[in-house]
Amino acid sequence: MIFLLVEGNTELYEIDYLLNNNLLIFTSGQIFDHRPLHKRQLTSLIPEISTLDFNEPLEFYRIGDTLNDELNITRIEARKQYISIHRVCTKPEFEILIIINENKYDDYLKRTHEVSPKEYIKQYLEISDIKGYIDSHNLTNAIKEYKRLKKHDKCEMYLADILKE
Amino acid sequence: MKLLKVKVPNGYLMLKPGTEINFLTKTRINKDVDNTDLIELEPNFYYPLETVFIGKNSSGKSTTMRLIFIATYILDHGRVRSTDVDADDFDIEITFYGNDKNIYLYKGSFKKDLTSGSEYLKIVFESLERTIMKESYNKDLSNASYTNISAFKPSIGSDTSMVARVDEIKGFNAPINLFAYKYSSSAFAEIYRFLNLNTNNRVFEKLIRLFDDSIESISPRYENNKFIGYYFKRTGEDMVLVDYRTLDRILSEGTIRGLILFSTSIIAFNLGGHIMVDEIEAHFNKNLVENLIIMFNDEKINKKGASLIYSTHYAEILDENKRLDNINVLHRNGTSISIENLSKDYDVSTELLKSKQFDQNAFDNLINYKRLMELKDELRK
Repeated sequence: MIFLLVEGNTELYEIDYLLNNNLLIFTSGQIFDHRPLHKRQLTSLIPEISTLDFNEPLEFYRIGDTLNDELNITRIEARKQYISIHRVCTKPEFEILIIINENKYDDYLKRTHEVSPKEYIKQYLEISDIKGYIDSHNLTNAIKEYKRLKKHDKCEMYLADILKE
Repeated sequence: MKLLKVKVPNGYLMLKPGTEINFLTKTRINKDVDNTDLIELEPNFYYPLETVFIGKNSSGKSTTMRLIFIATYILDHGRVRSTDVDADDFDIEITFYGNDKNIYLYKGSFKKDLTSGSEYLKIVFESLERTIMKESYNKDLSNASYTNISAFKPSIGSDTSMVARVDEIKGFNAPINLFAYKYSSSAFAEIYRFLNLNTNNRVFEKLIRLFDDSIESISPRYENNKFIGYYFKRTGEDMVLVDYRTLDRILSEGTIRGLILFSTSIIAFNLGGHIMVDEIEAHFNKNLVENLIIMFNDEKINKKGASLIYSTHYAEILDENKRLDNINVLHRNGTSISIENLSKDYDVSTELLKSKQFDQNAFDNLINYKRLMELKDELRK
């Protein structure tokens, strides 16, 4: 069973968009609860996770920016051998994808000491309705471009890695 | 008397033909550890004081508990109520350990008597055989060889078996129906009478204060040898004379349920036998049940080795249970129920609490994810 656990609202809008437009390597029918879940931890999901077959592999994809905290699996420890956890990072903030999509990455780099990506898109791109922006833009090229531009630790995946080819 | 096995060769409700409920220990007994949760019936022949049936809703717990009750009812009363069986024909094999240290095998075939309209099924076949425990016997007694008891006369055509008259198998077997008390004339009167018959009055006082410590005393009042009610006194209040109906209203439901369970158990501690409770957690908190089990495991309290047979959804109760072979997991596949044993049929991790494994569906005991998603998807439309 695939779990898509997203860290914030922006990630949720984007993963919803990708899923609804069939752009991910998973379909909604394959993922837990048939939708991405806005959860940093599993606490409130335990009763539903428990209904899965005990020996079903559980693949958690945590989708966020830096994802510094660990996913606590104590309450599903009995299933430990069937669990895998993937960190899908977009750094320093998920909004960097919008900056790349607007071809403003180089400009943004000049201002990194001054503004965060979230602030940059408000201040310099005048985008305040992030959901409206994501719903009306296909960010797949920006997601792929991000992977070309940024280098992650080996243990961290890129959003591009869960996009269909 | 100890119920060792109950088998339904032709099935019972949704229990498959050939289903056998086995109460015997199934694993080797380590004699170097504390085995207070077992009774040693004979050297190397042990019996668990607690037997559990666990499973999700509609998995067959109540059916299984009802079958166990029917088996004890046959041994106690020699009869099968047609309303208990819900079928025209009913076959049963009951293996039990008698008070005379013999192992008995009772086989009975019953049929609904459509002409007489009797409340009880008619006996079409029955036999009673016996053996003694032998070292060569398998743990499940599957290779035991029995000899027919010629003194036992089958009551073919009748609705009452003579098996209930065999003194060697007499025991106290009490299904605890915690809903039924509401419809009885007086739960309290029954408890009081039963407990006083079998224990001293101080036990009753201590028991009632366990559940409601604001009660100072309750005692029956007789005039001219006729029972006229109870003297009831709460701490700081005047003593009042009340009838049993008023008493049933004064005492909380929890107190009455607790009194029923504990008083029945206390009687069994003195007489031996089996206490059967379906869905034990529906009526009591976990701590109360845990403490009752501890009392069952205390040989100074449970003097005659009474055993507790119960069904539950409450996996946490099992954490206090050291054994695995007395825990049975029920599953329903379509229209049939299967009974699996935690020791025989599962690879149980010893590093984790049993409840953690149950709560994580290690024994397929929770609701089905796919069915849950089907419902949720429909509701989200």
